Amino acid sequence: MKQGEHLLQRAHRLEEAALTEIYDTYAAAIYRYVYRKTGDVDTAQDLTAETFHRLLEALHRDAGPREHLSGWLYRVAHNLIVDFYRSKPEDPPASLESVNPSVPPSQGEILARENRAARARAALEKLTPLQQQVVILRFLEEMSLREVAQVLNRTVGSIKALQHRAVSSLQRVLEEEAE
Amino acid sequence: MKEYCGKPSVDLPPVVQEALDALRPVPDIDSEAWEAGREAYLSEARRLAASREERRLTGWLAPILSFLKLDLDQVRPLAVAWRTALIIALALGGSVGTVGAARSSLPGSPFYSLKVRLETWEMERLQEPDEVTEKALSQAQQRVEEAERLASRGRDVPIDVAALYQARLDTALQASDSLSEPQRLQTQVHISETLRQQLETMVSVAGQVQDREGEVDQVDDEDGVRALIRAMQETQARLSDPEHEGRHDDEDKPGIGAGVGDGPQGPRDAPGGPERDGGDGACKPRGPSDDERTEDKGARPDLDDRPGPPGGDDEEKPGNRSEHAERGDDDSDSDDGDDETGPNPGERDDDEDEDDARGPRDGRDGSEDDDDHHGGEDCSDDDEADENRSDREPGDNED
Repeated sequence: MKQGEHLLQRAHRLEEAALTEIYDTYAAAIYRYVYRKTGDVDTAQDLTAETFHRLLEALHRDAGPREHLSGWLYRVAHNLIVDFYRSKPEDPPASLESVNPSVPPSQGEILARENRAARARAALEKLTPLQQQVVILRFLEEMSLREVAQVLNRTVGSIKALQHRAVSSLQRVLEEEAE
Repeated sequence: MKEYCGKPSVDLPPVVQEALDALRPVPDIDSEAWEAGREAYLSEARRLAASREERRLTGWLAPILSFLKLDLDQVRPLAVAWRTALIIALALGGSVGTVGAARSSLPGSPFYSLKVRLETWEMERLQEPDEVTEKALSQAQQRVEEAERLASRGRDVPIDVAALYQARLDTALQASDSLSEPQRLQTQVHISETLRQQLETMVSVAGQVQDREGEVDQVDDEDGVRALIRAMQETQARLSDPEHEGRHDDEDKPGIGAGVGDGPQGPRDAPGGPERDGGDGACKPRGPSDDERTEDKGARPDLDDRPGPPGGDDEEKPGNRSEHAERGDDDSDSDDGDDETGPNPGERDDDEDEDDARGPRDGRDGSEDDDDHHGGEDCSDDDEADENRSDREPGDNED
């Protein structure tokens, strides 16, 4: 039996050691993922906590993942992010237009860095949710195609195609914005 | 098609690479906040594990008890027989499962009155004052744990729990009076320490209740948690009173109502101090006077001092997340039955894709619900489906 499956079996029995191991292994990655989608530390912390709360609830019902735990966690986190934005229609994700491109670097490197990140996030938001996930998981979380496929419940071929379209779209959006 | 296989390569268009580099840094979480989040997760895990254990103990018995109740109501001779059999079983300790179920029951459960009766029976069998004190304290602790468990499940704590708690505490104090002086002092130090820990627990529970119920004004001032806190504070005050010489009958409790604020030197005979509760005083929590209630309501030192939940107050969390989380739960619930092919938490990704195919996300309005998306085509895990779907994705028209 694979080690991951054994860990999940113990988690289904609500063994504290297993649940601790899961948290220590995946919480930071989920936090990074949510932060990169939302750009907000507090939101990222909240949604990370909620993701693991969902895991516990599912395990308590003897439901939840039987394999590919990380994929399950990323999917729940993603759904929570979607819910988060849906619950705040008055405060949509930043658009490219909402980011001030005229802020000169002279105002400080930190501000410039934040500005670049916000612009990049706004460009990313122009992609489909699935493309966004592929970009984040593949290029920021540095997962392999197979890992991304597991997380997104897709085939490797499907991920390749998605990745290609995502990169093309992102390039176009960024170039259009630069013009 | 240019492929980016294996681990991500650097073979990305420069403009994309630059954007990704900008997204790469993620601020570290404050280690204290991180630790608090981890601890909250683990304590919830422990609570759920305990809850499952309780369910395991009581689950099998519920249908039987339900069946018994039916018979008891309908057939009187049988009722007598069943009741007798049950009593004999309990007395002989033969029905370990029943006793176990009763012992782990919570207020509101059909087993709870049995649990209390069992406790009383156990108490009555004891002769030695030190044993009585120990047992009564242990049973008072049970009440605290019950309140904690109820609150953690989002259920109200009945005020009866506080009454039972107070009764057990009184029993412990009364029994301790019969001890030799050194023993009595030692025991009362022990009781005082126990009270301090219990008070900490209940203040934390009150915080949970307050978080759950929202604004402070919405918290029921007369709920069991607050009554428990009051009972603890008042008993602490009694124990701190240097004039306290172990008099625990109702007539000798003038200091109870003096409240915590008065401290050990509180006016024991102050008007309005003691709140007497008539003949069954031992079974009612002694609340503060009206003045104290007013003061307590205003200051709420117990609630203000509680440790804050990790991640800030609910008000600061994403708006109405509980509602959305509930919807997410439903998704997850339906997913969990079939991890491989059935719907799963990720299925909504497909829905999102559908959604997104109609326009950019910031163009959606909040009135959309999931049902809007379920009628669409089934986005299965094949490339063709992705390609078809992508035709409608913004920015993918060249595909």
